[in-house]
Amino acid sequence: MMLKRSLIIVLVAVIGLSVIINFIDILGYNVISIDTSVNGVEVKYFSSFFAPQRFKIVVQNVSGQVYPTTLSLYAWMPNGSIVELGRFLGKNGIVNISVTKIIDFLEEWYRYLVDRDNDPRLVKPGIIVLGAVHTPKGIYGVVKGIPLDMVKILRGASVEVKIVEKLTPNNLWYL
Amino acid sequence: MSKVKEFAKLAKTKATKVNNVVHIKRLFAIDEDRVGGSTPSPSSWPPGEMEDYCDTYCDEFGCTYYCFVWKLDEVYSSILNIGAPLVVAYIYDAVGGEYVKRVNDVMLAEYFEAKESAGIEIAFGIAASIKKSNGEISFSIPSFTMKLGGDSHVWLDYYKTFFEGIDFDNEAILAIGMKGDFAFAKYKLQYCYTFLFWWICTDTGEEANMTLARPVIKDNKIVPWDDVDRDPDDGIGITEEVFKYIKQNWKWSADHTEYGSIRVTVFTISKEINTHPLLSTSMAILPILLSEAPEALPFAMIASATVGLTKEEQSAMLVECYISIKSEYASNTYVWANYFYSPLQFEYKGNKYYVGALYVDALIGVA
Repeated sequence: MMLKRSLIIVLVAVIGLSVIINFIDILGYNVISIDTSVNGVEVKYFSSFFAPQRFKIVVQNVSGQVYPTTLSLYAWMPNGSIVELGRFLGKNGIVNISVTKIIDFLEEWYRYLVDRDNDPRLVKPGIIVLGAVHTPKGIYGVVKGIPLDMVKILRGASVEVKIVEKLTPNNLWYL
Repeated sequence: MSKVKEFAKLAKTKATKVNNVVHIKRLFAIDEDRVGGSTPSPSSWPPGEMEDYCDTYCDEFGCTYYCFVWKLDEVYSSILNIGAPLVVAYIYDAVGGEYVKRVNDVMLAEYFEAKESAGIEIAFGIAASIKKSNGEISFSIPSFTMKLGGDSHVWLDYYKTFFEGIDFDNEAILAIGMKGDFAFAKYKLQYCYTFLFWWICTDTGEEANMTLARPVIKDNKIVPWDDVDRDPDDGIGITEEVFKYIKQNWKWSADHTEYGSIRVTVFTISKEINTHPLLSTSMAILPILLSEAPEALPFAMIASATVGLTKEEQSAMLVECYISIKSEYASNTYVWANYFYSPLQFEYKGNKYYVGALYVDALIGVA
């Protein structure tokens, strides 16, 4: 009887604590802006007081289904070179990108623009995203250029990019 | 047999031409920013316990773990800080230049303003061609290399009036545009599979070729550029090369013929070829890129850099060519003008559009 009561108290405490943590997390979560100018792409900038800065890309089809997806990210640097920011895998369509790679790329752009008396808040250099979506019907392609707000990211904003692809025969590569 | 199965079978027979052997740890970047979490753990072995593969193909001989992954194959060309024409007028006649002398002036103008809070930004498009392994090529504008924003921020406000007798006195090609950086790169899709302790990657035959363009900006302005080619047939000069390529390879617009003066703008193009505001004008950078990378010719058709607005707003953008005849000849001297648009349509936002170029072929004639 005593054991049962203790278990219930522990259970209630655990549930209560997780509710409080979630609540605090929600309180600390603040959407700064959403950019939908690129076709089929939503770029959401947000701050999260209790979580480290992160950059993730979610690839899904129009009905919201997700599949194992590989993304290869490239950046066209101010000196003209095209550099690979990395190849990433998201087994459930959610691809976590190394935020330090993104920051390195944006910091170089920031310095370049400021050196030429430009306001970096006005310029949004893009990353080039090439992806392969592994569905039971075959391999679909994703090709996007996604401009990023460098000042928001360099100030610590996290980013969630949602790419909604129409998985049509046009971008089906392999059955 | 499906293509995926074909690849898997080839991998098993080891008859595949191996283009790339990657250590198993290196196929995917590790997200070093995350501690713990769902980051794939790439070093575990055997593959049955690995998390960093996309799919499995199994048959009676066992299972193959694989992923399709894109890789940068080659940067054909990357050039910085070069003038590229956005508005061009080729002024000529059929009588050795006598009628050209009747032109008073040619005014070329370019204006781009961002109104970010209204969703209007200046966007430089990526043009891509995807070549499938069956040889089929599709063309698209899969979005932007760069966007320029700000509110009521004028990024480019430049015009130049070219006077007959001062700036040109015979057939000539006149141009204004902007300083820009341009690149042309090829990416390959690879089939990667696990073999012992390695990922082995082979080319699939799928390629993506991309043209990248961005402006040179200084003091929060796009740096303008202009040029006069007074000898349009000597084969020298970027404006001549660009114009002649477009004239020979792109489609001709409907005829526009007016006595006294003629005005052709980006809106003329947008309306007539029924294209998106982002695609109604472009810089045909092909000869610039080809001079660096002649081997890129098979994909050269796409080498055009679109510049436009993310949302239609006539007050925020103007690209214009205005040609006027001296008043004493205005009643009997006409300008017969055509502009050009891409020979192929590009997919953008699920629809197919032509890309326009305000490159005006202006024949001066007398009735």
